[in-house]
Amino acid sequence: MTQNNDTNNQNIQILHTQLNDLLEEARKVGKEIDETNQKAREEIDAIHSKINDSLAQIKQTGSGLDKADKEAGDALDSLILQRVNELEE
Amino acid sequence: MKEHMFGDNNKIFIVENSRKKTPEEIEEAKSYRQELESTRLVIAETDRINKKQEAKELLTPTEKAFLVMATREQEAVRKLKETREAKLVEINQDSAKPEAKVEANQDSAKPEAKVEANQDSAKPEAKVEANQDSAKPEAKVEANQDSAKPEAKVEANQDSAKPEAKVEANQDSAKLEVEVGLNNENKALFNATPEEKKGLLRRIYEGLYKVSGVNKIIGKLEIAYSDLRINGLTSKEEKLQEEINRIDKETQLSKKSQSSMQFLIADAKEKGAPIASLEQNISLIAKRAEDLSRKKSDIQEKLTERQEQRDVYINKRREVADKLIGYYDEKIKPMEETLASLQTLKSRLDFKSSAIEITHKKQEADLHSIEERLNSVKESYRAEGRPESEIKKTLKDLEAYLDTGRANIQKKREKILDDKEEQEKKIAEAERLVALHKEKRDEFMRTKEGKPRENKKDKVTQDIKTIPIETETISTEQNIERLPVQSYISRWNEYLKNENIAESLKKPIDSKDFLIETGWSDDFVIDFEDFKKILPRYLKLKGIVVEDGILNASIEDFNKNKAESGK
Repeated sequence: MTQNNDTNNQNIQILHTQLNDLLEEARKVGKEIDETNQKAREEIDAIHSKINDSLAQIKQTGSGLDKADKEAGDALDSLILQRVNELEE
Repeated sequence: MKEHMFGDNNKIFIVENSRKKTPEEIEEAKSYRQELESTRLVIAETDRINKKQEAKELLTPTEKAFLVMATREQEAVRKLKETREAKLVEINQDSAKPEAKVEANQDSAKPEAKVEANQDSAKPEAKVEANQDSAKPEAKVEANQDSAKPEAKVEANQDSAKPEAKVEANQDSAKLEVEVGLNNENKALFNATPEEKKGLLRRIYEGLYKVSGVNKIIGKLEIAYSDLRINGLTSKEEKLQEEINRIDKETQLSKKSQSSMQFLIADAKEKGAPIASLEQNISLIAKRAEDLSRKKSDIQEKLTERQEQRDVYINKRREVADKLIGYYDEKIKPMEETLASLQTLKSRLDFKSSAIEITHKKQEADLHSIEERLNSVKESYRAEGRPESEIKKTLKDLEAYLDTGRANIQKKREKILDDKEEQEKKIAEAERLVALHKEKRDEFMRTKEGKPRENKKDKVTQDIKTIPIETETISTEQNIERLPVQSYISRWNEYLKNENIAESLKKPIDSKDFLIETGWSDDFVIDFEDFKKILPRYLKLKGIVVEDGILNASIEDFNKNKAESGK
């Protein structure tokens, strides 16, 4: 009976050890996940920032072209109006 | 005795009461009835829209356009009425002449009369003129004659009850001009333009109302490069040239006549015949030749002036187009460079997302492995007779770690997916903007070179294809071979030595760089599916361009070789 109890206690002890090892392993994986996520956030944020900068640059150039469109449009309006006045109906 | 009948659309019928109507007159009368009918419908619809406008209700674009069109038509009718009145006065004056009737009828069929009326349809002062017209005796006659017709009365009442409707319609017409986007300087130029030319300008700019703001400049350039003399208007230059040609012919004839006359004079002198009348004739011919020469010189001057005006216009038009194209060329280059760097960022984002996804997959596999062993421990506790409550308490911390780890992975995975989608939309927007401006530049070139518009699919609005992130379910099958990433790389580099490999692919992978880029450790373990996913993205990131089909076939072939060599 005593021997059975000892065996039982030993088994429980082994299970506790296994459990502790698993806990340690889970902690390690959890830490890895946190590190992966942290690094991912930093890397992807850096990419996002560059994308935003590039898009802003393209939009700025685009608005410069829109301004050129407006100026050319006004010049063409003026030319067309003058030309129609020159033409005889 | 003649009776003159006027319709509201101003068809004139001149008939003799005593005479039976001809089939043509009957047909014309029918046509007149039909036109009256359509006029009534137009008036009724105009009235309905005016009421809607008075009630401050929003008008649909069609209703607005209808109102403008109806106003123009009314003005056209008024103009036509004036023309007919003038003709009528002539007919009255010449009532004794039998040909007057024929002339009047012929005129009523002239299409150019309508064109003229349409051109003037937008004249704001036309209404003022119409009011002034009411004082004219012939207008009164017309009004009295009209009053006998019931439909004319209805129309007159409707019109007279709605003076503000006409004003609003004109305001709408004016609004359309503003919508073209003339700047203040050009608006002043437009306002100073003679009324008949305003009509031409309105027609020229009409198409622009329908064009989006972005493409208005292309529309304006197309207008500038088009023949502005639209709607059958003839070129003054052509007329002047024709006149010069005619004078040249006449001058030639005149010279021939002079020669003949000189011959006759010489002959008459020889024969002693009188030459006074011949000399008088030759003098008249010479005078005519001088007149022609002077006239030609005047016309030539006018023609030269017009040609110079045209050349100045052509040069200025080219200057505007060249300046615009030059500016676009200058700006598009840096835009394309920025876009190229965005494409690299897109590749990097795609690569990083995949590397993180593979890392997450490996971590989930680790968690799964721990869970399996945890379940085994749980069963062992039960076998040892431990109560469930105690087992639950003992395993609580570990289970919490597993749950938290999985939740963190899932949360991050979703965040990366959302972020990636958002960033790809931004890149697509940048691609669209650059493509739009390039397309505009090409359109400017096409218009300037007078080439027809290509009927091509709108590249700008095409969706930008992206490589989706596959969210795989975690495979825990034991038969999936997992190897350290270093092993995959060295085997791949070995595989590239194979003779059958495409040249574009024969660039070995730098394992150190690969590990830095992925953020994986030397002993990081992946399976073939992971390698298949990350390799194309890594190659793209490093600018190694290989056709998708060739790359996929090579990767599959590599896997097959790897399996065979492992046997």
